[in-house]
Amino acid sequence: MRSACISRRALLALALSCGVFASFAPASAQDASMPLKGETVRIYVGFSPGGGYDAYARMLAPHFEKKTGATVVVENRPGGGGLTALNQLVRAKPDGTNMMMLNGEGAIMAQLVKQDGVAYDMTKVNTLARVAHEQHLVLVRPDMPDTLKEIQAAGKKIKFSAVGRIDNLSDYAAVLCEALKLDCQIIVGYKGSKEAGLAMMNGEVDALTISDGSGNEYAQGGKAKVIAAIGNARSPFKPDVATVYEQFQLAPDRKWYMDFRLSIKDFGRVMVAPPGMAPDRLKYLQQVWKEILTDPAVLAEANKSQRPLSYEAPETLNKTIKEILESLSPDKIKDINEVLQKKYS
Amino acid sequence: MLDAFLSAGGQVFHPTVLAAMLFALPIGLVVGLLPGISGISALAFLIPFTFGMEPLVGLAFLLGSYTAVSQGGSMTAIVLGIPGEVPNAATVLDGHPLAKQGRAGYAIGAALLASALGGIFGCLILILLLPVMQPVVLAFASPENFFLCLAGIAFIGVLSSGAAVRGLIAGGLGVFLSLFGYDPTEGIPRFWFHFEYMLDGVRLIPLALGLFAIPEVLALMTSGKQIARGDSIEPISYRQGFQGAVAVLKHWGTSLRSSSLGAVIGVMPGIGGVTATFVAYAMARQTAGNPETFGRGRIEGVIAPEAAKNAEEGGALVPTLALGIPGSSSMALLLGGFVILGLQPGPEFLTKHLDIAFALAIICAFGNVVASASMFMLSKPLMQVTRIPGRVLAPILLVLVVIGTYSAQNNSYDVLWVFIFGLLGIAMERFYYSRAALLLGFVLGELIERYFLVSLKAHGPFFFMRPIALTIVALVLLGLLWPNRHRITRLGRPA
Repeated sequence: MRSACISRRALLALALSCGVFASFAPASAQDASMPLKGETVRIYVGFSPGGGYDAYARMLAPHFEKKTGATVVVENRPGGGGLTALNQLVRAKPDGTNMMMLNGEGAIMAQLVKQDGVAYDMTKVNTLARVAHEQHLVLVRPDMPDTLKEIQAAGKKIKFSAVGRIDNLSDYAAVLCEALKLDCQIIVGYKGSKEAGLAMMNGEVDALTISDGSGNEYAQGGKAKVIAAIGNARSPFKPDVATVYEQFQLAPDRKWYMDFRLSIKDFGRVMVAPPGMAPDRLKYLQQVWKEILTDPAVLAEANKSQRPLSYEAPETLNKTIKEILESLSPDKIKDINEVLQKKYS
Repeated sequence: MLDAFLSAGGQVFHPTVLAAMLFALPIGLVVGLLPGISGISALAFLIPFTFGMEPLVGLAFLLGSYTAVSQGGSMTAIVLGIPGEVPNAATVLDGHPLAKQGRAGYAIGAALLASALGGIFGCLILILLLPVMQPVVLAFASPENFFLCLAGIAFIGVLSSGAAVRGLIAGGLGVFLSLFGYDPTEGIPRFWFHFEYMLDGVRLIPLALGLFAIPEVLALMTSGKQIARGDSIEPISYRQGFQGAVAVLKHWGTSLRSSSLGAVIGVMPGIGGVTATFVAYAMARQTAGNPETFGRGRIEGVIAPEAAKNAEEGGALVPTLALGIPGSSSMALLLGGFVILGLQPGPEFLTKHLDIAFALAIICAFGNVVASASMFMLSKPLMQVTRIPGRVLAPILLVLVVIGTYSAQNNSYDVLWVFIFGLLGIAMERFYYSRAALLLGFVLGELIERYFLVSLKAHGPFFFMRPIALTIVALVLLGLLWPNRHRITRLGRPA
């Protein structure tokens, strides 16, 4: 009884606070060219305020408001490494008033390895646009050899730091070790990527794979050096550092692991909507996001706040998801699971 | 170096910078007074306002509000027994009993001066460490963090006045609750009963507010009486506050020890404010005479956590500026603010912007003093709250607690949990189990598990054979055994 009465109170409080934000929006004046005008649109963020996803959502929200006439509320719903918010999104009304600024790579990986708590299907979630994606760099301590070749030749065990078993840090380390047949140990359990970086700087581990923006920053004080880029192209932050593919001629079966992980990388930070949306509404949202994310003024603003944008069309992304989630054989999935989760623990 | 310092002083005392800070202070004070709404929320809310500001103006704005939040949080801890922020829970232990005796002013005065001095101390540490920051931060790896957390847990028995066994049971329960949800290293969910919310286990804010706020609200509701009771309640005046401030100077040893501890814990990324305040409290109890009177309104029990808390924030700026690695979650947000303002903290930051680093330290110290002074002005109406009848106060508090809990993560399950933990809090209070011990066990349980497993994997079974780690162990043993030194020496002698 009591909790019911309290949740009513909580709802009242919520309603009041939402009211404050939404009260200035005109009552939904439906306009065929601007179907969301006057509506309140929620952009879910699966992490606490202050992180990268939150920053991207808050940076883009005003532009979405301007284009659609809707009022945007960025809602932080942290939990389950972002899974909880996505699980909630797929249950939300698919009318364009609910969206999520998603860690697309993480969501696909979690579904692929059948992580506990996954209650969504990425092949059914509606993709609106890729907002950004990042290159990854390999960093080592200053007293380590200067090239991957020397490290490989030395044959010594190298320790990587990471946060969890399948996050961007440990995945890339695992596929790198698998592709180059390195003797690796990936130590997981660091609280965040910054702490994982600190562990390399204080010598607790030898190496780290991390997004190029952060990697470039860590390498500036001489406490770490960048020895390779992971990807098909060099990082704009470190144009003088060659990619792993440039440094090595990999056998196809070895190269496969890196290619596989890089195909998921293309997904990056992505804006998604619940499944089951009416086609015209979906098309409208996809068009709005395309216009926002390719607008030179928005791009300039994003670069200034060091949150660069790299739009990719939903069609391309959908093709990739299907390839990854539907065309892999059960044996191959088992093999990937083994490499990512067990082999280097 | 002196140039940078003087230039920093000149920049900070520029009218626009001062105005930004003074404008932000009241916002911070209000946020601090609202239970559950943390400094992190305040920063998240304020960061968009800094768009387009000059970097230093924006930073003054953010830091100014942030320093004020913790002062607000200690006020509710003393006056209402409800921690405004989780680290303030340690202040409840002795601050609230003082309020009940009608001496809220005394506790408020002590808390404000202690936190102002602690804040200044933390910033001094920051200034002193600026040139040598990197090696200091880098000297602490996982094994050192593990032993620091272990040191914290060793003090759990101390936290529970006169009932060490009950304290340990409560601490154990806290550790147990910390085991729910994703395990901190491999990410495998434990005890989640296929219930999505439980993937992240028990949340800190519902736990802290449930344990401390709900029993207080219930007591006010059922008795219907005001908080300050007793036969001879002093009239409300600033005199009490001054007496409290004098007490801080009288117990300068406690203030200094707690501030140093807070600053050291702040320097280590990831250990956090709750550990700082509780360990400082336990240390004060160990070193003061008549430890059994703690928990019934000892002023040292207010001074220690307050000094530690504000010193901790100064310390937390060290790794944030030196390495771009935030010393606390609020610092993580502040770091985001830096980037928006076009500054990139990290190794390069100190060579390029040493003056800004100094300026931040000065803002931090100055903000602490101004926040304390303005809170002191507000102390009279705050003391008045202790004289409001419970039946009027209780419903208002309940609404604030519910909103505060909900707003932390926008999750209505949190609100449900605040009541479940409220029941636990009521039972614990009734049977004299220390709620503080439970909270400390909960916070440290996760950290200990994380750092232990990482240390073991990265350094092998002899991870403790490191000079700093062994020094921490020695200091803890000394701290625990010192009050019993006479008993120990007696053991050595023949009967």
